[in-house]
Amino acid sequence: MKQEIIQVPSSDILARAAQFKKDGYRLVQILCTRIPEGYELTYSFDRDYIMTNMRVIVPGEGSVLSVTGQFWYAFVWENEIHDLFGLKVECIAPEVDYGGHFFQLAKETPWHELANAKPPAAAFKVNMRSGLGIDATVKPAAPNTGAAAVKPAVPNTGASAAKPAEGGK
Amino acid sequence: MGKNTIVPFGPQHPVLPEPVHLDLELQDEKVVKAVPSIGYVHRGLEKLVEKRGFQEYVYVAERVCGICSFGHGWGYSKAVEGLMEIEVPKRAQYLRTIWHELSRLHSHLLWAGLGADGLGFESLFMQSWRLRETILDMIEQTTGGRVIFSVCKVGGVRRDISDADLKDIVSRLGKMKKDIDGLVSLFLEDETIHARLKGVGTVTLQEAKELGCVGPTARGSGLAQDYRLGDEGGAYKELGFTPVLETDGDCFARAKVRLREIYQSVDLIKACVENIPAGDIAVPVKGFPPAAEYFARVEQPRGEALYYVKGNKTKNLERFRLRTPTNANLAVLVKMLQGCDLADVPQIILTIDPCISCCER
Amino acid sequence: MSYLSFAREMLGNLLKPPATSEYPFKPRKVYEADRGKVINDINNCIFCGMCMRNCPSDAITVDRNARTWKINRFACVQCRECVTNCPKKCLKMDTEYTTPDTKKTEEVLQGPPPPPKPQIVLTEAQKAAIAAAQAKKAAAQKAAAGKPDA
Repeated sequence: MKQEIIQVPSSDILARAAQFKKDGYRLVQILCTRIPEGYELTYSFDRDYIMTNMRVIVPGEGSVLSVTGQFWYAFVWENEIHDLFGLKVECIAPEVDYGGHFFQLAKETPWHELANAKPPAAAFKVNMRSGLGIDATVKPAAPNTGAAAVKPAVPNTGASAAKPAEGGK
Repeated sequence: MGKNTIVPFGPQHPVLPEPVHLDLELQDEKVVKAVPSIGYVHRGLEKLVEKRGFQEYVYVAERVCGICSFGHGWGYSKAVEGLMEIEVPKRAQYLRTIWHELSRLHSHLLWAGLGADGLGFESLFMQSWRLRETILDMIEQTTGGRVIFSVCKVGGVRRDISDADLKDIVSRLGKMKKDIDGLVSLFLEDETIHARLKGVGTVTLQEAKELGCVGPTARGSGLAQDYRLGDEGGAYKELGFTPVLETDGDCFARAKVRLREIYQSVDLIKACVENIPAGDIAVPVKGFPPAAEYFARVEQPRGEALYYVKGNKTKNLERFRLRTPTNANLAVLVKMLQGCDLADVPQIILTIDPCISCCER
Repeated sequence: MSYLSFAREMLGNLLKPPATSEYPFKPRKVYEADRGKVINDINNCIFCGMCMRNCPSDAITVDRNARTWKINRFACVQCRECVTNCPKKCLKMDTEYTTPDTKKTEEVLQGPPPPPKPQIVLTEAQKAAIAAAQAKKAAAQKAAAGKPDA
């Protein structure tokens, strides 16, 4: 199914939202993504199970106007964007502007940081739980290993040199 | 008229095992304003997609919520399949439909129990959950898990259901019919339930449209909003499907929608078993998701959920978003609570079937 | 609409046996498909690490040098992904669940020492062929590296 995304300057949000409302659309969600330039907001509108998306790029220090005037229920997502991403949303309908108290979180705006610059896909996953002081019990499975303790690394296996990161702690 | 009082409700509350906190502003016994706050179980699962391979993440997506676990797995897989342009085999679509409807049965029966418990009708609660146990057994028999199915994967499903098991499911569902009838007639005819639910928390059709309701909450107000009519995938298009509608818009109508959907799900499973084609259950997935975006939607037991994925040509996705049905229904909840009695608050919250941990990916 | 509508159901329930089972005394019904816990036949394991890389909860650690296979049973989510991806099919899903514990522990399985590498005995003719091939390759490399003077 083709998915339509319309690029819109941030000054046009309210006019566009009003047009969508007039055309009988329903606001499905507001999506926020952190991008290097700031924030990428996508407003999804649905009519008869066909969705149209409106995309707005907001610069890092900027703010965005609320669409609660047209779609009152957008306050759920606008508060969410404010609490999780730290993007200021202005003029939310006063009775539903929770001012950063919608999400009770231990850390403020946890999703503000950019998607981490990842190493290429071939990089090995590092086990995050080792080294946390989890007790290790050793269960010798093979009858021919008599010792109950984990042996230090056996030096000979030929293939081990190829992937040094694999056993990494 | 005295001064307004603020009564905190939740996140720990006897009738509602969901971590939502509401500040209820009361004028005498009437609620004039409700301020919700969530985030008590926020786990940052959307962010975790950056650290997990796109195929592994199905298992994380399933664990967003226990009750709609299959729906989340399916929705995520559907979004990635759309992104990578993978065509899922027919049999896999039918199997997904069967499991999805089983999970709807399990969710609605769980809701019936919780709803009865919220009314103080403990024996009806036990009765519903006893029925749910039969469904859980079917799920365990076919998937290996009772609540977390782990059968959906990108490109299809991981397990097949043998013909014998399919027949077994149908015959067990047939045997359950009498018990379901008993449960539903109890719910719909009992005087105490009428007294507690009728005329409480009414949402008119116009309000339901304006507040963006989804799922049984919308259908209880007569709004035919069911994504199974849209591009759901699965076998819904072929089997034919009409959403269950009620027009009263009160708590009782929403309960009625869910109870009637139990019958509908049973019928859908039977139709699926009759029409299921033979063939592959999965297609191999090669390569990484392209640098593109895709939106997918799935009708879950609680309503329409939206999944968004954005790839970046690596093993990990760049962004995953999940808008759950409860998230969309929070607005109508806030509206409904304005002007209701304090004693009706638990019923009103329960009849939107909230799943707060769904809201806090 | 009726009052005491549950009475009929209740009387029926009185005559029926309990719907629950006496769990610790009677074992629960186990299905073939059940995902209980992962078990590893360590003698067949080749320590390739596929299970570790595919684990969504990072519960498995494989050390190829030390020939150990570790699992944190309390982090494992029983998704069965490791079993699906095991190239030697030495991982299996047991239908029994992990028993509860007061401490989070890791289970370490120590594999047997690797089988000795087969010694290849070469005949004189083969050795000569290898030497000739190596010399040819070296010459070709030299020709490619050094710019032709002529």
